[in-house]
Amino acid sequence: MSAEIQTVKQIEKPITIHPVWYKLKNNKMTWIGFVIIFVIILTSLLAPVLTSYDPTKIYIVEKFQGPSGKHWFGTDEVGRDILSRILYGGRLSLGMGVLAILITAAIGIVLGTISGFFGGYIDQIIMRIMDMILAFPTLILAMALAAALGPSLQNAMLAIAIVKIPVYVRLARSETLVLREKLFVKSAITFGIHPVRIILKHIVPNSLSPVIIQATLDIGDAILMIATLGFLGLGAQPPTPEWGAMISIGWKYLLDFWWYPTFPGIFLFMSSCAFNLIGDGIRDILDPKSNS
Amino acid sequence: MIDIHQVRKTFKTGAMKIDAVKDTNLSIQQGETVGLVGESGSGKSTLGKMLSGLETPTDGMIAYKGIELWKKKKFKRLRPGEIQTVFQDPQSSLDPRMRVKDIILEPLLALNSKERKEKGKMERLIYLMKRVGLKEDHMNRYPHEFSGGQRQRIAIARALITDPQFMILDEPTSALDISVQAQVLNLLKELKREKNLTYIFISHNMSVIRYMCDRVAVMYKGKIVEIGPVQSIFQNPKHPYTKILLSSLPSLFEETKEKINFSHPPSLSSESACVFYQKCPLRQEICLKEPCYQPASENHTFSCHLQ
Amino acid sequence: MLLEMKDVSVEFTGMRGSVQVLKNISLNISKGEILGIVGESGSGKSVTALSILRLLGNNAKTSNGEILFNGTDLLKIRTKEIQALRGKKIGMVFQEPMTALHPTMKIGRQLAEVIERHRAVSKKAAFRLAVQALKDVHIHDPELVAAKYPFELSGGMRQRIVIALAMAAPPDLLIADEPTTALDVTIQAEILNLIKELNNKNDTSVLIITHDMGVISQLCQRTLVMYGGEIVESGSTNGVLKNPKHPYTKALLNALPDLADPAQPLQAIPGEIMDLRHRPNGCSFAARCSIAGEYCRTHQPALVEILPQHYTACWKGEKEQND
Repeated sequence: MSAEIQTVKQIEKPITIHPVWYKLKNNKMTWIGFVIIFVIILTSLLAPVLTSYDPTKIYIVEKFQGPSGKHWFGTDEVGRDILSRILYGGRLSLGMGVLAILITAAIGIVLGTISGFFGGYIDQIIMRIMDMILAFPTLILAMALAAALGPSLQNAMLAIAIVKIPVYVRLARSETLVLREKLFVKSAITFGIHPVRIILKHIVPNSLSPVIIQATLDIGDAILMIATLGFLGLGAQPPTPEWGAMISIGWKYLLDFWWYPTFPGIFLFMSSCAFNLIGDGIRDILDPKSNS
Repeated sequence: MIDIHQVRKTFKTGAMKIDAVKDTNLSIQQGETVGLVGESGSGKSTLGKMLSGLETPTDGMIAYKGIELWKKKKFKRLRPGEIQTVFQDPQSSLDPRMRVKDIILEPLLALNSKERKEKGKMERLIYLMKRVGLKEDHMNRYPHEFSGGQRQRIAIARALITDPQFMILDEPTSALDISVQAQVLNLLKELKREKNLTYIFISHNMSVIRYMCDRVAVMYKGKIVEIGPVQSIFQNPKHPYTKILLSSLPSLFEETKEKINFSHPPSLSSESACVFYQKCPLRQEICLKEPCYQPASENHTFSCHLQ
Repeated sequence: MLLEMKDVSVEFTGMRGSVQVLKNISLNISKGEILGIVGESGSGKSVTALSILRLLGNNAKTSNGEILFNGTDLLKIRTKEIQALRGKKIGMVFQEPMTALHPTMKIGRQLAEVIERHRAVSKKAAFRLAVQALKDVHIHDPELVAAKYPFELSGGMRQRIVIALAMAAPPDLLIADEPTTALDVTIQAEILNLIKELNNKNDTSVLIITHDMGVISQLCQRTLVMYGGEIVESGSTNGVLKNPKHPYTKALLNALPDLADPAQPLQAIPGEIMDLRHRPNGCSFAARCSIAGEYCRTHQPALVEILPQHYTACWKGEKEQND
C-alpha cells in the first residue's frame, strides 16, 4: 500500500539463515518430526549393531514368541525376530519411499519447466499425458502398474514414482509460468542465452521451494503406498523384510499374536506422520504465502 | 543504425484483436538518443520489446545495421550482446538467488568462449562495477541487500558487460526516488558519451525525456503521432495529443497554466478514423479519415489534418 | 484547527528488533486547507497518513504524542469510534484505486451503499445521490458508469470513483496517499483539478502525500518535506519551493529535470536513502549533505522558524540566520 511499509517489510523479508532458524525454533511439531525420522534412520542403519538376529533366518522352534527380553517385539510365524525385521525393513521402506519421490520430483521438474517455458505443442502434449495419469485413482493405477511390471519392491517404487509425476509437473509448470514473466528471465532471453540454460539457472532454482515442500509431504504418503503394495503382494516379496509385507502376513494372526502386525504398523504410522510434520514445517519456512 | 519499417503488432485476446503497434516507421542514427513517450498502452514498450527479441512483430521489418532482426518469426542476433536492455523494475530484473558477480557476468554466457574469457576478466568486472558506482566488495552479495538505485546500477553494469552499441532503456528510472533517479540519469548520460552508445529511451515522464533525448517520438494507441527533435516538439508541438501531454505537466513555479482537456467520445466513429479521434478536442469531420504525416519543420513530422 | 498532530512517533517491530519510522512528527491542518507532505520512499510520509487513521498494522506502535481531530485525541478513542470516523469524517484515497473498490459490485450500488450509511437516506434517494456524486467527479454519462463494474473502467475513471466514495459523506478531511502516481500524466492533471475543486466546494481539508514536487506545487497551500521519518522543512508551498531552506529540499529540487533548461546537468544527491535501521546520532541527512559539518553529524537539529511560518531543521540554516 505504501512505500514505507514495503521498505520495512524488506528489512524482514530476505530469507537468510536467521529467519529460517527463527521460524524453525518455534515450530515444535517439526522438531518432533525430525527427531522421529532421525531415530528411525539411525536405528535402521545401525541394525546389525543393535540386534544380533538375521532378519531372514528361519528358526521355526521359536515361532510366535511374545515380546520378551530376548525378542523385544516378539517373533513371527517362522521364528524370525520382528524387531530386527523392522529395523532392516526400515532401510527398504524409507529408502524406497524417498527414492520414489526423488525420481518423481526430478522428472516432474524437468517436464513441468519445459512445459511451462516453451508452451505451445510441447505443453499440450505433456499436460495431456499428465491428465491421462490423473484420470485414474492414484493407488489403483499404482497397483495396475506394479502388477504389470511384475511384483517386486523396485517395481512398486517405480509405479509410485510414475503415478505421482503429474502433481510435480503441474507445480513446476505453474511456477514457471509466473517466473517466465519476471524481468530477470526476460532479461536473460534478451541476452540471447540458450533456453535450457535459462531453465537450469533461473527457473529451476526459483521454483524449487514449493516442489521441496510437496516432496517432503509426499514421502510419508509414498512409504504408505509401498507398504500398501507390499500388503497386497505387489511389492517386496518374501522373505524380504518390508513393513507392508510384514503387516500383510501378520494381520491374519492379529487376534492371537497381536505383536506381529502391530509393531511394523506403529513404525509405518510414525514415519509417515513424521514426514508430514517436517513437510508442514518446511512449508511454513519456505512458502511466503503462509507467513503471518 | 536501427530501421523500423511499417511494423505492426497485433495481440489477440479471444475474438478481439488489438493493434498494440500499428504501421510504425522509425529510424535511429548511431550515437543518438531517441525517446518514446506515451501513456500506458500506447505501444511504446511493445516497440522496445520487438527490438530486444521479446515480442514478434506481426508485420513489417526491423533492421539493425542493415540486417533484418526478425526473419520468419525468429529473432536473429548478428552478434549476441550488441543490443542490451535495461528494464523498469530493478526489483524483478535481478534473479534473487544469484550473486551480483554472476548477475553481471550472465550475458556473457551467450558469447563464444574466447570472447567470454576476454570480457569476463576480473579486472573488467571490477572496473565496470566501479564505473556504475558499486563497490568491489558488493560482488558476492545478493540483490535483496541493495536499494532500488543500486539494483538499477547492477542492471546497467550487466547490460554493459558485453560492450553493446545499442541500448533499450525501458523506463529505467520510473521506479526510483527522485534523488536516485538523477544519479542514474546522469550515469546513463556519461556512459553514452564515453562508449558512444545509441539509446532508445522509453518513458512516460516528459521532463526526463527532455533531459535525456535528442529526438522524441510521441505515441498514442500504437501509432507515432508526432516525431522530431526534442526542442522542436517541446516548444512547438503540433499534434493535439502532444499539446495536451505538455499542458498537463505540473510545473513547479508557474501558478496556472492553461490546461487543455480531452474531449468526450463522439457519437460518430469510423474504423479508419485518426487514432486520437475519440478524445481529440479539435476533431472535425475530416478526421474520420486517417491523416498522413506532414512536416512541421526539419525532421519534425506529425500526423494530423488540422494545422 | 481541524487536525493537530503533536510529537507523534511510530515504531515498527520486526523479527530483528524495532525500527523507528516516525520521529516526533507535529503538523496541523486548518479547515479548508490543502497540506502536502512530500518525501521519498522511507521518509515516513505514508506512515504519517496511516497513523492518523490508525490503519497501521499490528507490528506498529504509536508512542507518545497526540493526534487531535476536532479536539478529540484519535490515539485515545476506542476502535469502534475510529471506525465511525473513517469514511464519514475522514475520507481516504490511495494509490491503487482497484484495491479500494469492490470488484464484483456495480459502481452505482457501491456508492449508494456508502451514501446510505453516512447520510441516513432511503435506498432510492441514495442511488440518486450516487449518480449525482459521479457527476460531481466529472464522469460523463454517470448513469452508464453506475451500471458498470470496476474492471470495466480505466485507471483514471476508477480513481474518480474512489474520490467520489471518499467524498460521499462528505468528510471534513480527505487524506490522499499518492492519488495520481499510478495514472498517466494527462489523467493526473485532471484528478488534481478535481481534488482542488471538491476542496473549494465543500470546504474539505485535504492532506496530500506525494513524492512529486509537481503535484505539491499544483495543489497545496502549505508543504512539509520529510526525510528519514522526520519533518525537515515546512512552510508555504511557495516559500518551500522557491526559497528552500533545508539542504535536502534544495537538493531534491535540483535533482529534478528542468523543462525550461534541459541542458543544465542534474545535481544528483550522493548516496542512498537513509536506512531507518541505522539512524545516525545527528542530522539524518548529514551523510548526504554537501554542507554538513562535524557538528551536524553528532547533534540533532530541531525545527526552527527561520522565516515567518517557514520552519527548517538544519544547523546551517540557523547559523545563516544568526550571522
